[in-house]
Amino acid sequence: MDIKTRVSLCMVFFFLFISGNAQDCLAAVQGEAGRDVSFLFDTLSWLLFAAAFTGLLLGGFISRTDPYIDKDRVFRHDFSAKLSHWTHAGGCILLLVSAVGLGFFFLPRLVPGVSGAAWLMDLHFIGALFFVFGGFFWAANTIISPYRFTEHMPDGGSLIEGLTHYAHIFKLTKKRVRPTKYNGSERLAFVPIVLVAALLILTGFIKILPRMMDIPTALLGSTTWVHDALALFMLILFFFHVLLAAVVPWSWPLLKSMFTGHVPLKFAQDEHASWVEQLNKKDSTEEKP
Amino acid sequence: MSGKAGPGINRRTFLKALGAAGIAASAGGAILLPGNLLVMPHSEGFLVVDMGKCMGCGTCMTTCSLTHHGKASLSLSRIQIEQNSFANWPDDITMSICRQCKDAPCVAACPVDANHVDTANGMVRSIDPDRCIGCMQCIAACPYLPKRLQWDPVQRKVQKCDLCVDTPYLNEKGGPGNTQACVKVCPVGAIAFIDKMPDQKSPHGYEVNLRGKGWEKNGGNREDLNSKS
Repeated sequence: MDIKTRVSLCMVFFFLFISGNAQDCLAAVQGEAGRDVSFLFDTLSWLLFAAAFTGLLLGGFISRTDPYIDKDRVFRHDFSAKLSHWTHAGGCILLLVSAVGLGFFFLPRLVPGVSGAAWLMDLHFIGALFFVFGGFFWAANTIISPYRFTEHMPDGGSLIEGLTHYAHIFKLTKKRVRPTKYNGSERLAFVPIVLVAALLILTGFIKILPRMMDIPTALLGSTTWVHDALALFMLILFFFHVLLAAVVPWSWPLLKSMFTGHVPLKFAQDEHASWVEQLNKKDSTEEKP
Repeated sequence: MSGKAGPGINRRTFLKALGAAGIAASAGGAILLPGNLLVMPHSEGFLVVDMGKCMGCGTCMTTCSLTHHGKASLSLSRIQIEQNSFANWPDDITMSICRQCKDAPCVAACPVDANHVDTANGMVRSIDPDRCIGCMQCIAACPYLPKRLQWDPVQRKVQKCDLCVDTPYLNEKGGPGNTQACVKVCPVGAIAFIDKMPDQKSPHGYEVNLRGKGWEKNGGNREDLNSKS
């Protein structure tokens, strides 16, 4: 059993142990008369903070593997990349589904009663656990290896590169771009996704603060509004991300690599030519210290 | 690529220490500081209704929604009246008003302190609509049927009787010690404001008798029943 598996198992057992004990402790003081529904946001709100710190802790423990060429395929996504991506994805799906169900802004509430609201709020809590963990795990990786952040950031040519990339796909031009690890559109999408995700986490934490302390009504009201607006924005971003990264056939190799870790060398040469050149030059399979 | 965060400590070590300390603090805080241990002062005002006198006209309901929302809507009233044509007087009409409970379960249930004890207005159990997230937990927590909190389908928030503290359409000051619109408009004086918590001799409601000399003059016995509100 390698260190990653051991750490993962330890964290799972830790979560189960603590959550089981805390649930019993808190039930003793929160079970007021007449109250037959309890929300996880009430009873286990501390777990959201623990999930954030667990992300930082795990990010500190796990060493990452840089991409390398392995015969006819390229190693693109290591364990950390997959963990970060899928915890974000799973959390985001649960959060968006439950948010739409509970109703925000002008969309109608889809639950008629308190038990439905409780069920969706609990679903929102579980989604938030995954999303917060994934966000802080990603942040830890970025703190340790800032180049992973900068290689994803757009530059002056990203817009033209992204437009040319899609123009070529739709046969509007014969010109082909030679992207690095991330093409122009991926770089451009990176900024709003990171910003929206970070602000959603921040406003989400502010929204659970009243469970622990008295905060001004104006702050809570404006935070709720901002959280809802960002959720709507995230819904749109999520839709386009899934469409362009999972539904369209030309992205299927990348989708598959989010499970296997590898993309075919031919695909990488076609779609990320400069990246393959960089990997050939570097010719290194060692992880960064 | 693991840069230094300070003398003798690198980023990875810093994250490990921060993560471990944070998890310990989160878990420890949850167990040692459970919260929600509220000491809830009694409300300084209560509404009571004598169902022996109520004739179910609904004036209090429309007035309630008018003073709070500016429109006459039975659905937006914080007083709910049920009528049963097959029951005998005085059980043919039931009026449900928030009882401003001691240790109010609805206040304790609110996850965001929107439902709170209004310390600036006579400890009335009130809901701040700006804070309410519409989770309906307070409705579930209310031990009475019909529930003494109502779902406002327009704002998608919960509302409850605040003894007229927040009445933008009432040209008088509301709240404990001041005007309660329903008390003012009831044509038969079936609703009253009192500043002491009424006796509660059964789980169904406060024991109330608002019948006066006029009731006797009309042939009624002032003690012929103990109404429950």
